[in-house]
Amino acid sequence: MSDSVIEIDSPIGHSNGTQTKTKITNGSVIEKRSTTVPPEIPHISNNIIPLSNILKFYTQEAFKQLSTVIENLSSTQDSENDSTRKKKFLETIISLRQDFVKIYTLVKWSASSKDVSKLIDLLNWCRMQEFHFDQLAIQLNGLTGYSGAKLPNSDLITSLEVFFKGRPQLPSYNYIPIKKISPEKTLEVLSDLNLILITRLALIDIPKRLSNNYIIKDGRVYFSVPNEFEVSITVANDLIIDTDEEYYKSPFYFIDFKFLFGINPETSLITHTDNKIVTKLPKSSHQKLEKTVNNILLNQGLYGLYDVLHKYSISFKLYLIAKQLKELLINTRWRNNLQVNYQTGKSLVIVNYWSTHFLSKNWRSFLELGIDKSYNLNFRWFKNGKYNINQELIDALSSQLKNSSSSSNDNSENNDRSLSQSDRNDDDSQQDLLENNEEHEDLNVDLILNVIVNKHSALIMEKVFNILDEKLNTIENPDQVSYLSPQQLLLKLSPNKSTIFCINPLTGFFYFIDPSPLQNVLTKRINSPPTVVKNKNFISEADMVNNIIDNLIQLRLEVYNKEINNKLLTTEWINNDIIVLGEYEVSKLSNFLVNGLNFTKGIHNIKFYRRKNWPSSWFLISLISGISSTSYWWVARLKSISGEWKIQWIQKLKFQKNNHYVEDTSENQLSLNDGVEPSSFNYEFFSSLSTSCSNMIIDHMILEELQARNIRFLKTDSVKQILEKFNISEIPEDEEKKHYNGDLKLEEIKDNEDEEAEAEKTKPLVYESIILIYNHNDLLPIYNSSTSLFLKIKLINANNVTQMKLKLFGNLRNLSIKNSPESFLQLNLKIDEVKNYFEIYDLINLSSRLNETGTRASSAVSSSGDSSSNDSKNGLLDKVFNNLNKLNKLIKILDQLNKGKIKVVENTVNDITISLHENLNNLIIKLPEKSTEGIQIVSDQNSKREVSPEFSLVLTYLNRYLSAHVGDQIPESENANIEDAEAKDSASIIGIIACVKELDPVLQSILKIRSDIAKSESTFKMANGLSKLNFDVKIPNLNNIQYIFYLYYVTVNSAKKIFKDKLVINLSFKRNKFDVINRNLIKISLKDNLNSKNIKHKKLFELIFKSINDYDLEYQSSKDSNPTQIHTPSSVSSSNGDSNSRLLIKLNYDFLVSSNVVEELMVRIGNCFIQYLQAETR
Amino acid sequence: MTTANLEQVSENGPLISTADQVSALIESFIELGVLVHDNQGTQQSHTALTRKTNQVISQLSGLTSSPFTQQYPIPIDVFSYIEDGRNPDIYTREFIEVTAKSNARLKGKMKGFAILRDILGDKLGKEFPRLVENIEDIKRRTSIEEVIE
Repeated sequence: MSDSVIEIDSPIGHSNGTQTKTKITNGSVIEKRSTTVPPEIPHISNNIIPLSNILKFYTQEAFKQLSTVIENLSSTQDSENDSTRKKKFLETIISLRQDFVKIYTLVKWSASSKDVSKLIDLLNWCRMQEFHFDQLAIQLNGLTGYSGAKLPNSDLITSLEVFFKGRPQLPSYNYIPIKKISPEKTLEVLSDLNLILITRLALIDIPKRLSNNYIIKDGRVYFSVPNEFEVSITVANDLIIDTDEEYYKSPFYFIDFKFLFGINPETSLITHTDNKIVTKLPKSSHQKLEKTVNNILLNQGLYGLYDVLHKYSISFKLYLIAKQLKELLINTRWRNNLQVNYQTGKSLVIVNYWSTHFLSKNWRSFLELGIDKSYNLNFRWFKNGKYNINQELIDALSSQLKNSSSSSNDNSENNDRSLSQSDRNDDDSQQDLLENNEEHEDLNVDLILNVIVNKHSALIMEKVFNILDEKLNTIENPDQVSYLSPQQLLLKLSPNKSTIFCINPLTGFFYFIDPSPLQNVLTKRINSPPTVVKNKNFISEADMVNNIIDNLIQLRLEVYNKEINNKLLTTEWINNDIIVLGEYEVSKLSNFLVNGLNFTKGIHNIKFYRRKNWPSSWFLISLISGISSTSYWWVARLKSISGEWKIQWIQKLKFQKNNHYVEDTSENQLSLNDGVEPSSFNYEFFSSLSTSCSNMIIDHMILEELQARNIRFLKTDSVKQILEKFNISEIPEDEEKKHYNGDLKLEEIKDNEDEEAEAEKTKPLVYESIILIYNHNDLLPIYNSSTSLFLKIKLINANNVTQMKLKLFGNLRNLSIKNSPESFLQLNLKIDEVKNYFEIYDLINLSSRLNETGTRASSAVSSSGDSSSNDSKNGLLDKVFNNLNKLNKLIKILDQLNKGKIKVVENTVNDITISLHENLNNLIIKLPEKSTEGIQIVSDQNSKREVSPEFSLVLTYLNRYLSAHVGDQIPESENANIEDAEAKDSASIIGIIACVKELDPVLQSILKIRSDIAKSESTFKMANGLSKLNFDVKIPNLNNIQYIFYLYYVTVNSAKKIFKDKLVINLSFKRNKFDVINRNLIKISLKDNLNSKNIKHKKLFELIFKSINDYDLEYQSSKDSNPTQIHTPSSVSSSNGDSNSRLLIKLNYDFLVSSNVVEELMVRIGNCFIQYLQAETR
Repeated sequence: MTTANLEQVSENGPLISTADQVSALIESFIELGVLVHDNQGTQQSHTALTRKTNQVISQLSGLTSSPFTQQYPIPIDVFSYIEDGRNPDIYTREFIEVTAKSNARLKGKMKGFAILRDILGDKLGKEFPRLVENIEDIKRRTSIEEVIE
């Protein structure tokens, strides 16, 4: 601001009310108001009209419109009508009125128009003011842009120079160089220093490791610690200090430092070789160290110096180690298997090896490299959850580590010596690793790690080996497991297979060399944490080793199992995986084992096999153990009962050392091994296994069948002795050719024996066993045989068909069989009467039969030996025993017949023909086909005589009786009623025959009566030509024979009607208790005819009685010759022991007669009828 | 203040007479319209009509020369308000409101700038003591208090 403004403004300052009109321009006032009244607000007249103007305009407009309209009105008077014109006029008037209404409003508003006008002015003014303020703000803002007003700082320094020196100073002026120190002076100072240092060092304590190795030269003292560092220090003045108190006056000063080790450029390992390779510090570190060391020297002296530098060098070494380790991590075989934990500045390197292995993962096994209490480089080994101290390892590694930082006593030669010693102590692998190194070997982390992991893996392997060794019982089974190397085990998997089980020291994982897929699976399992301890946080080595052992045993089991399985499958065994045995059933198995097998799954494996042709429920069970190579075998019948498999029958297979199946006998037992050694699992074994198993099954089936037949038997092995006892020197052989030849001479067989023996060898004789059968008089009469019979079972393989030869043989004597050998052949029966020997043989095609019989046998068992169901089906032994039964029956019947002195006309195997009487037909006794059926009697069809219907009826009755009493041992209970007591002892057939004999006269009489009536029929005919007499016989049972006579007649009253009277004569067998001779009498009874109706036939009865009397008289007269015969009407006359004597006892209406009388008596009675009718007719 | 009725004030005198005239004119227009509408064509009605028309004309001429209404300025805005059939009082009210607002804002600005002026003046005075007098003068001249005195 200029001065002039101030001058002008000051006198009038108060007079300006507003700023608007006052402007200072170029220092002069343009406008000047002298009043205190503020200036008028400018009036706004734009867009404002005075009211009068509006009024004027509107009125004139209105007038104009009115006049126009009115003019129009006059002009349009004709053209438009009135209303239109009115309307137009009105419209104009209305619009005008409206306009004026508005005008009226306007006029009224005008009252406030003046005020509004003022307000307009005011608003306008306000807006202007606001505009000014805005302008002011913009201008104020413009003030900030006054950059031109700034000035640079003054050059004070130059000003100062100028101020002081009068001119600025320039560098080129007047430099004075410092004078050079002369070498002499330097040398002098150095030698002085040397002297002082010598003195100083002599006077003070020097740390032990420093004191041995220092040189004073060049004005300083060089301390060097082998393998660690070299440092040089000096003093700064020539004071001689001899007490610690005064040390501060002349402390040592640090000059130089270097490490006496470094990275060997050739091997890139840490080396201390001859202190040749040294590491100097970079400048920055050196400076830092200088500061630190000077401080230490001032405060702590040489001891402090040593401590610091020692730690420093060891830390550096650790750093180098860590660096090496990190390099190892990147591109070496250790990659992914190593974890290194090193923090710069920390004095510890932790190396976690096997970092992917579960045992060691997450720092569970590691190696600590660090500084120990005495600040030496040392290591600690942590594994299996604790720090491990392994002296061997310490020796090995400390040589590595400590030659850098061993105690001060060790000089390098000592180190070397101890190193080489420990080298020699080390095992081979270490030796290999160490061999490469020089005498002063470099500190090789790789090597250290190798030693550790090798050791660790060797330790684990040792554990594995020890447990395996123990488990596999290598005392008994050597060579099961052995070392190939400390990390490799040779493990026998099966007798023929072995594998190499290794641990990879690098990773800690296990592997198999040349693994099979199975081994791969197990490797995976081995290399994963054991399931048992998965929940535990810590997996100990023992857990892992146990897991490994389990898996190895599993492997052995599987391999062994597979091997056996393969062998079995190739020998046509079929595996069955469905069967699972419960614990209880398994314990049944172990009962067979001598040493009580502790069955555990995983260690043992039970497999089930069967052969194609085996019955369905039969299995071969094999038990294989992972621990021992011995296997156990059973044959068993298994059934699934409500989902569980039960052992129904089991037999252990026992094998001799040579692995041939042997029978279970006590004498063999001792020499038996419980199980099967694997050495002999060859084809022979398995095929013999098959046969022996089959044999056991057959044996069992046969025995079962025998049991079902209620036959007592004994399975024995000492057949020879027993056979000798029974005078059967040779077990007879049955060859096919003999059958063909039909030549049964035993001598001839014997001749053939040698040949057969040879043939036998070539012939695949599969199995042979003999069962001793106890004959309790039920199979054969003991009288004819002995109490023992033998059943020989022989299996023969011929043309791919297994045939079973069954042979039942035993003693046979006292025979009375008229027989032709040919007929016996039908029974497959051979009888050697000379040797008192018989045999029955049978040949069964087992291959085709086995399955059906197998199912049958099992069903028989399940129904608990239901004999009836058994009988209904075909057993293996059916034929043999049927034949035996036939023989038995034959022998017995013949025996009876012989005893009963019945003439045997002929006999074959199936039937016996007997002749009872000349008059009678020959009877044939048919032997049953099956042992359970009875005999049958038939009349000889070939006989010349006709068989009467009555006779065949009688036979039918008899057969019915026989078949009803088939099962009875003594089938004569009913006959006893008929027969005499003597028949009781003998078998039924005698009784039957006796019965037939007894009946014979009756039957004869019937025939006679018939013929008589037929002869004289013509003499008594009725008017219509019918016969007046009709004769019939009824036999309701064997004890009642009815003679029925029908009399036809016509009465006088009704000539047309024919009447019929029935007269019955009953015949039945009766016994007279008082009779001396025990015999059957026949009662002829007329009692039934005692009725009023028959009175008219009185004459007939008279005739009958007369006829009988006549007969009696005739007999009496003829009996004169025999005085002993006493006849009284009321009592029984008995003959003395003469069974053939006749007897006739007359009772009221009955007659008791002996059988020899019956025929004649009945014929007479018949004749009486004829006479009666003849008389009547006449 | 509304246009409902005019105050009987002296300054409103011309307005009152004008208003009376206009209302009479309007009345006449109505009567004229009635006459036109009811015109039977008879002489009497013609006469009445003529008379009425003349009356209207005379009324119009009376209104045309109303020199005292010169003093009332009418803003065109108000005129167009009425033309549109809107209440001119609304215009009045709105205008008052706008003015009041503007006034308030202006007052605030004045106060603010007065403070700015004082502070700026003080600072300038401290920095440049030579200018203190002039600054004080400016302050004095531009302060409202001074003006009111």
